[in-house]
Amino acid sequence: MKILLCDDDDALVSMIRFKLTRENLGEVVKAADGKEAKTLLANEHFDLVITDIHMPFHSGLEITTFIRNDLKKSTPIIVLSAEGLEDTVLQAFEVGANDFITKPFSPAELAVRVKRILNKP
Amino acid sequence: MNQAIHQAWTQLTPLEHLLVGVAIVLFVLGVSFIAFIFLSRVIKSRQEVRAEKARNETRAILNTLIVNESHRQDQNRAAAYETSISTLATAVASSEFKKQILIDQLIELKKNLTGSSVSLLVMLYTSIELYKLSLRKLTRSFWYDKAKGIRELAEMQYHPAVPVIAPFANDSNRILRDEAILALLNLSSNNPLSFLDRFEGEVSLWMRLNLHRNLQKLDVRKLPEFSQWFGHRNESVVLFSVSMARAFRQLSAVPMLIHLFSHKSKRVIGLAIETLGSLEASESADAIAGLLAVHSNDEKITSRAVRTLGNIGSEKHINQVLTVLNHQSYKVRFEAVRTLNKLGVTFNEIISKSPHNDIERITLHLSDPLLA
Repeated sequence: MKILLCDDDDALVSMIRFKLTRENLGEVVKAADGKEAKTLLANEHFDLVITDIHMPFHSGLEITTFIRNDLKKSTPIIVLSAEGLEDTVLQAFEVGANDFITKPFSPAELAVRVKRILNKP
Repeated sequence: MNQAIHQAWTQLTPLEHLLVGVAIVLFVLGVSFIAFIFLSRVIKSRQEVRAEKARNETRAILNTLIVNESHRQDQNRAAAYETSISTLATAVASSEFKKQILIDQLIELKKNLTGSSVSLLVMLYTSIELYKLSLRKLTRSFWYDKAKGIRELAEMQYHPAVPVIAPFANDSNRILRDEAILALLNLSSNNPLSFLDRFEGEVSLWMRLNLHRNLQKLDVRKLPEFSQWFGHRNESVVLFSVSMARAFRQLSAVPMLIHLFSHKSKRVIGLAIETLGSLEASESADAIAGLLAVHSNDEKITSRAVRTLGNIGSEKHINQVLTVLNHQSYKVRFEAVRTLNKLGVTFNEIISKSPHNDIERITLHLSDPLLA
């Protein structure tokens, strides 16, 4: 399994990566901004994408739209956001996200959601 | 060569001497400036490398601790957990710089995480005694160091710091003052607004917004009775307390709000009237109607009182509202017509009771569904 983690917060990325690796959920590849995420998505295959909404160059919603509309892929996507506003959540699902997690969140909860999406026990 | 230079120098006029001197000074300054920039960049990049190294060092241990937090009860892992904490403490013990890096990381992670991980981060801040560094910042000369220290203590929920932070709530520096107030709000468990008792500065709009936002996060049962500050000698504290009593719909404040009608500040009286209207305190309508006679020369108070009577008054207040129907202020006349109509007086009756030309225009305005 290969997971793309798009977030510009180093401390958080490092923690999520550690948690997912520890849970044997696969290899976690990091993208620090929207541009890097798009490049990686265009050139590599990922089984899951976890993306923050607010990122430099391209937002998490743009990344989701890019995967669904440009790459025409059905890769599962989890959107992370510090704003749990109804509009933002709805917009994320509208553009094709599979799940939405509001920051602050529990690392254990994220792992459970990832397992559920990847159909892992 | 030296002789030639000396000869050339002696042949120059005093003005040329001056110009050459200025050129030399400028050249030296320029070179020094470039050297300074170069050195700064070198120092900065070295510091960044050092910071990144320290970050990586502590991050690895922090991740282990956070991820294992949920398994802490497991006896086998408990020992490893304790070891990780002592490793982290040892890693930063020797350097204030590393401690600061760790504090920044703890704060950053705390913003993004929830659940038992947050308790762990707070526990680390205390057990590694990082609060000592934050507390030391409060004794430094620069206000931004103090503000940073206060923010760290508040973010990491270090409750024992409340008495040390409290004096900064009256600091002359507005930013530091706001930071201290927000910290006290986060840290004080019994009465988060107790700092208001001795507050001497102005409760700015920015501060009001921040306080309101933070108070909204509190359990309603923990909110203080805002009426306890209605008698405060600082007018801005009274205005803030009244607006909070209104925002949090504290009906218990109604008697004290009526008492504020005798306040020396007209702003306080006006806000008290509006608050009573928002709280739909119909028992205060008589007192509000009574203000029309006392403050008839004050446009703002009169118009607010009349408007509020339209919401909480009754037929018995019609005569008192009629006394201001011919007020010199258009705004008051407008509110009077609207209120009288709300209290059951028809527009035709209102027009017949006033010689003013614009009363009819006001009634037309109010009867237009698109404008009223």
